[in-house]
Amino acid sequence: MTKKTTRPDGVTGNGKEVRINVHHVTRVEGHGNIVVDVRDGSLERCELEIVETPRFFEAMLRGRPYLQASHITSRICGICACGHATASLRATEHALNVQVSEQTKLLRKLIMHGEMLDSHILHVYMLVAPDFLGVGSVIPLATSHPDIVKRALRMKQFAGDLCATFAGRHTHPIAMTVGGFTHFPEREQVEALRERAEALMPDVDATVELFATLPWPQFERETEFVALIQPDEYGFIDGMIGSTENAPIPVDEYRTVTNERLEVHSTAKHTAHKRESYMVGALARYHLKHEFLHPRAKAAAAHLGLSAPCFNPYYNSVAQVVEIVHCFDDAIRLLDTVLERGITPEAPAPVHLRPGARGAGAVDVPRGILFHEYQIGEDGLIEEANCVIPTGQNLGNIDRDMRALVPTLLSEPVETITQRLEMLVRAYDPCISCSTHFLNVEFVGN
Amino acid sequence: MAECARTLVLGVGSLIRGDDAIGVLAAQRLRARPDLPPGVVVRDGGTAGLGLIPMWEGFDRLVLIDAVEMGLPAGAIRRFTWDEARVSGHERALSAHQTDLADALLLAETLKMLPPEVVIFGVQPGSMEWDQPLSSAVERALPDLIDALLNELRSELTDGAKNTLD
Repeated sequence: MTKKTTRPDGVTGNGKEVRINVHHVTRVEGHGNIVVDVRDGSLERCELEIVETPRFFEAMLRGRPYLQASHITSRICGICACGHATASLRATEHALNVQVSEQTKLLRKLIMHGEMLDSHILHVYMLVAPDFLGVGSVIPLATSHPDIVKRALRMKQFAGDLCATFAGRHTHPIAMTVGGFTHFPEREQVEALRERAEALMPDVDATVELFATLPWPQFERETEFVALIQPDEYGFIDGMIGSTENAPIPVDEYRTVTNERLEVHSTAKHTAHKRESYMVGALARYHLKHEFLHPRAKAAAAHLGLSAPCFNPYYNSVAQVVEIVHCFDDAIRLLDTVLERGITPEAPAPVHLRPGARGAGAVDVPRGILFHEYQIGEDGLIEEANCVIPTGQNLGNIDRDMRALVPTLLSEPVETITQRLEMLVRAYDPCISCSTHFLNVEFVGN
Repeated sequence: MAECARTLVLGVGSLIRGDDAIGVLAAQRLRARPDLPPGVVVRDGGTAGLGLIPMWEGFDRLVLIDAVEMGLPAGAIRRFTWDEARVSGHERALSAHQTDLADALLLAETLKMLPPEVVIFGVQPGSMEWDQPLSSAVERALPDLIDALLNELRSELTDGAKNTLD
């Protein structure tokens, strides 16, 4: 069904006074407004306003059977559905002390790689690239650069199929459950994926080449980076909470890291750890574990001009390109492992309910670290649930980046300031539909 | 099959949004028919968005079924070609979650990834509320829709599409 798109902009300025009000930043998931107020060269107000309807998934989970949690929470997001499901399953498995098999871990890794690729490819090609190629969205990009768009579609299709093969369905996994899987692919399907991955290598290389040519804006602000770390891999599931400014913290102590609080101008909860805010996502992951990247991904990072430390938030998209390379190579490695081992259609690991079961799960989804925590009663019903979404963790950082960026741009035309701010928001790849928790009934006056 | 498939019937829409389910339900009914002409494949496109584009690759004729806002009484059926219905070129913000059929068609056309012949069967929805069945008007229209589709499938491909078969 066709939908209306309106985007009124109020943009005025004469150098000393700038008022920018971007309603509905385009090319981000969900809806966000940017408000900038500068008087006499002094920045009065600079905020990313979240206007998406709040979500009540945490409340929805209460009283539901534990087996439903991953299916319900995967509906929080269409693109990070597998990430939510996996974090949910890990929280439940930790709470109920369920030990999953090596095969289950392997298949879950493949699913997360599929999701990482699907999301990053869409983000860098369809949400970020248009800014650099002088077009407003992917359809004019298809006119001016059809080969680029076709490449993006090819790669994205593979990523979706990778996910669907192991998760049972593209968008909202159906084969994943507490303790393992209820469905397994045929060998031929895995072989077909392996072949396709190999055939897409030139496209992966072309992706690096393309993004190496783009003139990334230069802006830096020191920030803390937070991501999951694993002992010997650049992974996305489990581990400890790593920080560039703190010793690693166990996942079940995540609240000491996130410290969620409400901000006046948005319906999302902001988080803060060692500084006033921190960053999660690809750039954060790069900082905390780039040594474990596949060789080709390391080479890509060098070619793209990415090295740690890098406090330029626009380089989050660069880090996503590096992760695209890594996930392709790692997916091939994992697929080879699956083919070598063969797939055993095994029943999910057994579950034993007990009183006071409580556990947290963490997954580094495309946009950053995601936490689920549940308390499950002896009757198997969920008593309490908490979800801390990555984009919510970035909002404080986005606000502070904007606050630091605007003063450096005041001599530029207002259209340039607006575009730079929008590009900054897009670089974080925010998925605003996930990140709101509480209904804001306070009217913020002018 | 002696003859390779030339026509794809693709029902699109969301099964959980009232009358938006009509495309998918019609495709399901059609696929179950024993009297489908040869060379016809019927698929459920659901809400696949950009994922629709690889689905119609390689076909000569694409027949789409979808709920379409046409300002007509609920249940009204209209057949039109993509040329007749094309959304005029204005920048549309594509979202991963919300790529609709028009976006997918527009993008595919720009990339020259559309079959030579594209026909759309639009059904005017009454209501597309969450978690509702078909409205009675649209439900009543379903048999006529199936008949119209079968007629379409039994008709010859246009000259334009035939020429590509040489």
